[in-house]
Amino acid sequence: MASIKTYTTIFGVLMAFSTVQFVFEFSGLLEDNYGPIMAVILVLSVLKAMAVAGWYMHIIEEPRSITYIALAGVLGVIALTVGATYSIS
Amino acid sequence: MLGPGILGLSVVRHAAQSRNQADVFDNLFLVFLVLGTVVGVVVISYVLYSAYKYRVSGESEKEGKYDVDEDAFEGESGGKDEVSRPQLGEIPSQSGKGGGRKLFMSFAVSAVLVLGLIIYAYSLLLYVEGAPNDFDDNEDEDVLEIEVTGQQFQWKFEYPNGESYTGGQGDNPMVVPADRPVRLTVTSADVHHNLGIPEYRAKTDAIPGETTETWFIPEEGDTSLKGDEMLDIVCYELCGAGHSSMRGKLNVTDQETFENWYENELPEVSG
Amino acid sequence: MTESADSHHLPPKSTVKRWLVTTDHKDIGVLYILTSIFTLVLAGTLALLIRAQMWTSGGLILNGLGYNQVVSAHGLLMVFWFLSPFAFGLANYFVPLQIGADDLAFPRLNALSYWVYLFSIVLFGVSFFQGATFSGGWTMYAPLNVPTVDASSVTQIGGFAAILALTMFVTSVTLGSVNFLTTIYRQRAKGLRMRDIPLFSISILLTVWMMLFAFAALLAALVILSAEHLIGTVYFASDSGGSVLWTHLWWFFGHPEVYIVFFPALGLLGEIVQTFSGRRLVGRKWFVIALALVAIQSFIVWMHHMFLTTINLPIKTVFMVTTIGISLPFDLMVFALIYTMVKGRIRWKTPFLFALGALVIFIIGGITGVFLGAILLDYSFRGTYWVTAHFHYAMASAAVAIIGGIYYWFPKITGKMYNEFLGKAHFVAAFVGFNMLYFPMFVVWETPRRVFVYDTGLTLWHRVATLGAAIFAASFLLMFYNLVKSMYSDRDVTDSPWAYTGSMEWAVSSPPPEENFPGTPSYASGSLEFLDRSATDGGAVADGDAATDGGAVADATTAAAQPADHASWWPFLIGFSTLLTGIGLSGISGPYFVWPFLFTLPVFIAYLGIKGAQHDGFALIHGAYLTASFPLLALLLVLFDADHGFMTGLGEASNYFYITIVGTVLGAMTLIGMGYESFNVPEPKLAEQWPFGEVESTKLGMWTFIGSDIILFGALIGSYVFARFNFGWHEWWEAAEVHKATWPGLANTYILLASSFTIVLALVYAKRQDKRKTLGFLSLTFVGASVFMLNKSIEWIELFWHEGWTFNTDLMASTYYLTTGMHAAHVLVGMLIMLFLIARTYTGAYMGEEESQTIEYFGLYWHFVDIVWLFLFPVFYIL
Ligand code: HEM
Ligand SMILES: [Cu+2]
Ligand SMILES: [Cu+2]
Repeated sequence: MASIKTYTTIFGVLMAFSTVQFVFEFSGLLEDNYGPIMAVILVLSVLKAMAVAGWYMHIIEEPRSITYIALAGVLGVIALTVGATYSIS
Repeated sequence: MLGPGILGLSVVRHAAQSRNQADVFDNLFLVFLVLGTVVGVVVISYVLYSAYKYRVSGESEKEGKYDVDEDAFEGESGGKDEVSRPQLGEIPSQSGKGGGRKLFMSFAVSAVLVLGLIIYAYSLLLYVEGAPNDFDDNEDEDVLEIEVTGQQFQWKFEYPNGESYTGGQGDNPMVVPADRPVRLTVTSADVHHNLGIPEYRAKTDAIPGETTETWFIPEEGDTSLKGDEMLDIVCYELCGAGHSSMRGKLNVTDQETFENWYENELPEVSG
Repeated sequence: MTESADSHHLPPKSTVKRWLVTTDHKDIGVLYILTSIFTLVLAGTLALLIRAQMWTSGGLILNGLGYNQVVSAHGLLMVFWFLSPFAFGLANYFVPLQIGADDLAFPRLNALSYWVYLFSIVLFGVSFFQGATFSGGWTMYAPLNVPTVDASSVTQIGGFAAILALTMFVTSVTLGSVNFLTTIYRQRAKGLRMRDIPLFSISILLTVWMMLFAFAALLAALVILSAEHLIGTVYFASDSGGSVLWTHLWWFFGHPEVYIVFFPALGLLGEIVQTFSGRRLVGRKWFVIALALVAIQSFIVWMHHMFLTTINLPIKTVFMVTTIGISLPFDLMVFALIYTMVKGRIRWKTPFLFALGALVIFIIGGITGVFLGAILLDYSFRGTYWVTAHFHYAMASAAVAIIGGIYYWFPKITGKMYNEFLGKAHFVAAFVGFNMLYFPMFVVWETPRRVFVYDTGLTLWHRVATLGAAIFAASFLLMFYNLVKSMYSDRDVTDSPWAYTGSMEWAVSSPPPEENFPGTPSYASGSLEFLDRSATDGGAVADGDAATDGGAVADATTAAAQPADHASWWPFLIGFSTLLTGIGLSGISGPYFVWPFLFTLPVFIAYLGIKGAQHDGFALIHGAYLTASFPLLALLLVLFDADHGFMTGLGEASNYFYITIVGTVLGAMTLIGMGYESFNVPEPKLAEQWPFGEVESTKLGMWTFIGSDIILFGALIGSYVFARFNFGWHEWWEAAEVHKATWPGLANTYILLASSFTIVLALVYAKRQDKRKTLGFLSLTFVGASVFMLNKSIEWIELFWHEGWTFNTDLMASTYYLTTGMHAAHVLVGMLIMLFLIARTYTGAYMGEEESQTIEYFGLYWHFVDIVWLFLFPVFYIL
């Protein structure tokens, strides 16, 4: 377990990232630069997810194999989503 | 292996000349069938031969044992020729000694065979997929475009002049002239169907909201077909209670009859 | 581990009660086998009806709808309810025995898997009597499977009941996968590395990995499909790629599924060929590597079932390559089996004959599969008897191999030897019947499948097939007779009636003792030993080869008493409640659908108070729960009144509505009952646990469950991406006629993140044994969740009522409501669990390093739900 201070810092970062995501949309930035900003927004989500998984679910303290279970699921999702979407493009 | 190989080669050469999907399919199928049968027969025979050759018999005297006695083979062959026997209580990952090279040889041979077949099959696929484009590029080919819509449990045909009608069960066949490429653009008005004309090996899904394509070239020889002898248009995807009887008909005529029909009869049946 | 191994205080096997309350893996294995054989008979009868219909072109006995029902039910029952459970009956029985575990990691969960499975069969059975059962084929293609398209009232209720039955089955499979994975990773005998476990157990391990992920994708598809039925979403009915979306979801699951049914058979072939050839499997290492490769690859070949849909040529090419690639490892495995026979000492016993038969059949199935992998050939084979013949050669080969497994292990399970002559006769009849049945299908391959009109020139062949079917079916009577009769014979067997056995199950008595082993099994010394239980790390007692008689050992080991009672009624009762809920939902009308679940909430809360008071002694919190449930109920009644009008609403509700309520209420109560039952399965102490050594079993179970939930949500999000892409990414929101609810989305993101933070703090303080703070942060998390739900409701009400953007308005609405709704359902479930945790914490539970683990596991779930939201937020509220 990490310290309460670490948890609080992470909480702060999570809130900040979410706000940034929102601001992109709110300010109209997203509209003007859809592709790149979308990428940034998604990357922020991935980072947030990694923070939650890494510290709140303390995956960093577990054996790597736990990470692999989650990654296997994520890979499956990517295969399905990318495969299916590409197939009709 | 040599015999089928030569047969395969000659078939390959033949396939390259033919134009229709049906010929391409027949040739490819033949190659696969011949090689598949040969491989199947060889492998299965070898399985049965081995199972027969190495069988042993005898029953153990021990109470409650219903098999041979391991000890009975003490000193017999098999001990020396590097064969390892399972033993109760051993760590189960022990592998049989030997056989590894044979394993990889057989694997390599079959892999080469399969890969070769697939590459060959793929080249034919590219031809079949590319053909519609070739028609478009080729000025002399006057492709007949028909839009087909599947609907429980009939097919609706729409001709280039906008006239359309539904046909099922033998009445109102799709009519096409011989020797003119036909391109079908297929969709569905309700559920997932699959339109196939087995005679020409033309087949494609009929999906609501989507269009797919397939093509064929009706042949001169088929024009004599009439009535019951017309070709089948079959639904190959389960589409509801009437699926089994979702049969359309295809009437191949000569050019003149077709034009006559197109001008005069088509507007009449069109609904 | 040692303690839990003593007698489990189960009622004697002669009583019915034993079989209803048992959690012993061997009992449950037997129950699985018997139940799946029942399904085999049922689905086999349907198969005979198909073949009877095919006696003449145009059909003999059934009309179109009847035939479609028979074909569909036959396929569904055989693939789902027979083949896998048949294999998993053996897996239940033998995996623990092969790896040295006393039981599965979660015995009650195992029982629950079984009962949900059993009751899902009952629900499927019921569907036949609700007008008509599902009739759209086992592949359930869309949009024929949705009510708006197939509006015929006969097919409505029964068809949906079958879909719900399948959903129940998926639940059972998911629980089972989590259980087997945890068991195999955490409970192996000392000295047994992962690569060392016997072939059958390896094949089961890979099977459950595939199940874990593949069935989650199926669950996503079924959730969507159920939503189409219950609330009228329009995923599959939409003209915007809905039909193709189904094929993607179905086959992404479906291709792994065909290996899922086949893998256990491969493992069995390995075991049987090895034993009866008296030779260790040649190239075992490569065999295992090939298996693992195929398991992974099975997730990237699915579009070979879709070559005729709208998918483009490049992707077809990719999937042709992966398909052919996947056939090569199979090739290697077949050769490994063959070369094992060479120089063997082969005994033609019944199990071997079945293995040999399965191998031959599978070779034909595999070769014909390669035909289908060649896209151009597939164009013509698609939808014909070639496919039918191919997959029967492949799949029924699995059945044949598993039957070999039944003969192989029958003496171990019953302690009696079957009759060898009858066994061989069964094989001969089955093999001849099988090939008479399926080989002609290659000859008449031009016949369209699932169609009973065919070219009359093919009649003779179809009749041969029908006769073959009769022979094949009849051959099973020989087996049933043989096995039942032999159970009462005097042909007792020793520990290992076969020569050249190797794995652990043959080193214990037949049948195995209740606690599985005469001592703690260990391979630490290089070969199997059973160590003294009372001194787990002490000296060796019994040698593997000289295992003692079961009864005596059982007595010796009952000493170290463990009060935990391994009998439990809850799995049975929970299973039953899912049946009631399933029956109810099958016919409930849309406007009523949520009410049973809502009305269950106050019952849940009240019963939590009552049970908690019984279990932990009455405390203020229990009183609070009881008290709170009444205003909640009153509130719900007011809302119901507003929605339907109280009396008219109840009056017009159909019986299905009431059945659903009974089901959900019973479900809530039984779940609480199980939650409060003390059922102790100690963590194994002396066991090989790589690569999860430091992870407790429950945590590993939780993580594997999360793995499958990733696929569930991922598939829902993937469906959204597919649909939106297909529609036109940028036009999506413009077409929707409502605005993205970005503000509420942001608020909920803040709230959910905060609740993740508070649950972490609750855990921190639980470890520090600070009850007050733990309770405070748990409650805060609950409050956060409540605010989230409240905010969500406002958002929905705004969109749904005020803007009139209902579930079926358009594809945008459907995907939005369903995906965020599934997430909200997860939040709600989390809230209910939190109520349980709060009550227990209040009475002093969970304090300390070890005890706080329950909160930690819940935290994992809660954070996962949070993570899902982190993606839903941009996807549904920003982009
Ligand atoms: C060895 C290599 C294999 C290859 C290359 C292969 C290939 C294929 C292909 C391409 C199809 C799609 C046919 C179509 O619908 O047009 C198919 C269908 C099928 N295969 Fe295989 N297969 C193989 C092995 C297996 C095995 C081991 C099983 C199961 C035990 C299996 C079960 C099935 C089933 C159930 C279907 C039909 C699904 C349906 O449409 O209802 N196949 N196979
Ligand atoms: Cu159809
Ligand atoms: Cu497949």
